[in-house]
Amino acid sequence: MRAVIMGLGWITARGAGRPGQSDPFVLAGTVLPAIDQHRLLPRPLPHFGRLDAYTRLGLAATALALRDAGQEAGALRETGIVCTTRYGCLQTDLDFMRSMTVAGGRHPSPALFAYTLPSALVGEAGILFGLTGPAYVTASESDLASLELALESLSLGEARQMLAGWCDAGRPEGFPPGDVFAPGAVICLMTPAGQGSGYGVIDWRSTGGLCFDGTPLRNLADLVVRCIEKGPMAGNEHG
Amino acid sequence: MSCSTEHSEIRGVAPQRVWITDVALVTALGENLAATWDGLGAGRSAIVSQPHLAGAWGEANGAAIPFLAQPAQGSRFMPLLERLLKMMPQAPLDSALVTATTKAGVDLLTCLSLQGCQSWEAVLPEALPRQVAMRQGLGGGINISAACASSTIALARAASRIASGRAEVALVVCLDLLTAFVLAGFSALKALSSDPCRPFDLKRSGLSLGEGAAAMLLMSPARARREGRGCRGTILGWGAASDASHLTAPLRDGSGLVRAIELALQQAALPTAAVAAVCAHGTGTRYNDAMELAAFERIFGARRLPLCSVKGAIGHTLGAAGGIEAVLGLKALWERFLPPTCGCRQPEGWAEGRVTSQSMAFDGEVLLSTNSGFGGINAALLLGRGECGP
Repeated sequence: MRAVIMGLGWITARGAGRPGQSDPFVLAGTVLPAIDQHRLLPRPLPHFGRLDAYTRLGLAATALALRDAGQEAGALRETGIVCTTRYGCLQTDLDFMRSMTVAGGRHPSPALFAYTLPSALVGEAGILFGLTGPAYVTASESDLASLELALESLSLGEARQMLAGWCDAGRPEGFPPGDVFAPGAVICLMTPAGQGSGYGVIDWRSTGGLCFDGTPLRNLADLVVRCIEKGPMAGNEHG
Repeated sequence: MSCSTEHSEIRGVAPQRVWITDVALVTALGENLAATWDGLGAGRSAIVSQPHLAGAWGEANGAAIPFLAQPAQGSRFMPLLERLLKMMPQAPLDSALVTATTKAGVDLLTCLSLQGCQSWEAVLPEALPRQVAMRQGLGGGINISAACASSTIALARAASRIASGRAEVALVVCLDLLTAFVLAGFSALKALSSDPCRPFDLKRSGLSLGEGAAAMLLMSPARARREGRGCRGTILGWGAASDASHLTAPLRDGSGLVRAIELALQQAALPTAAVAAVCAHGTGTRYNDAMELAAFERIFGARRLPLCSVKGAIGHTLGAAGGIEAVLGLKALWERFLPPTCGCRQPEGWAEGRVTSQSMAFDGEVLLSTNSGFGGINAALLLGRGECGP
């Protein structure tokens, strides 16, 4: 099964963008920009201020990917979403734990608890964009895992399209020391090959892993760079 | 087969049937599948008061595994995982690994928040595939987090890996703990029942939490025959669909769950009439159970097929629920009866004549297992009867 990358969006500490519409993609830095929902999301969310950084990040990157694919407007029936993360909602977990201790522990926060699942991100994305396909979050050592899973779903007819990518707001402050990586989110929209030209074709390598236009993919950043090299999607030049 | 026009153009690939060759289970009702099944059949419930997990926010009842010790340091996650894996054979080294946990070792967070702790990695969902891979000598794996549908989607992903030819073997491990964290959270959402939950009952008033773990080894039929492994059941089809409606409440008309079931039937190339029994999510909340009954009525119409929920006996085991219920579903197929729905004394509406507090015999080779979770995520699995019992 082959799939086409129809749209791509990202948020890193160096900015937000999509191919042809931003500064070069740089996955570096540790402080993410504030997400301006009025600029990035298709419609403002009344509860946006209560969302955690991880969810806001993922929603914004998803919005950019869909805008890049020209599919922002309208409900995306039978489109699924799968996202890879490491720390996910851990900051919210810690915040909820703290809410269990204030006021004598009598009032743990229901608003926080609702977001103590990494999959809250894909749930919110489903609501915002009308995604009725499969939705889940995965933890994996490879940030390409979500694309592999999405390709699998498309090959078995489980969805018409799949959003796939990575989203991580990074290690919570004050958490015990550990590995440091640049936080951010990269989301792409995949459709079965033959349904549009897009940036290029994703396929499985016979030896394992994925390739893009016939060349092995090292990681998600590699995919972004190669899509940028292809130039903006037709009609998006003045997006 | 009743498929909505919305899906009429999705061409599912009739999959290679996926065999389940080995299973293991640990619940609060029993240290293995046999003990859990006996407890279910006897109508026992493991849901009791858990004073050590209560807080100023309220009292707690739930189904905690009584024989699972609390380590002096570290999470109960590891002792539960080790107990589970001891009951499984060594997985072939080329096994794909898919796990399902929503909160992993979240009981560690108290330590992290208040005292500092060195084994913090167990808090992350990646801890489960990492620990399983290490213990089984596998190269690595992925964890699926999809709220209460995590295990069902993990099984679907593992099955699809085999069905697509990308793997011959897959190990699926599902696990979640009963902790003060989740009890406080569901209490804050006012979702807990003050008494043991009563799935599909007219007077149900909320859910009861539990903990447990399940493991399944999946193989392609060809690989299973080469290895001389028996077929304890098959995964015939799967489907997942989202409500796209609300983060914590299900879509009342059940249309998301209906889509998931229809996708599973389409993928299995089976008509609705092939389903002989249903193991439902059945949490005991007013909205979830009403949603499920609405969905099942749309799928099955007036047909009186047996339906059960095990959550009145073992509690809602969160991310592990689908895996545990799939193993129990295989057992039900083999024994040809569904266990009682503990706590259901007066079934509501469409559940009448279909859900009882007694065991229910059925004929047929196919069982539907469903789960739904926060985020409006719905998942369905079609299981086939095996050549030997689980």
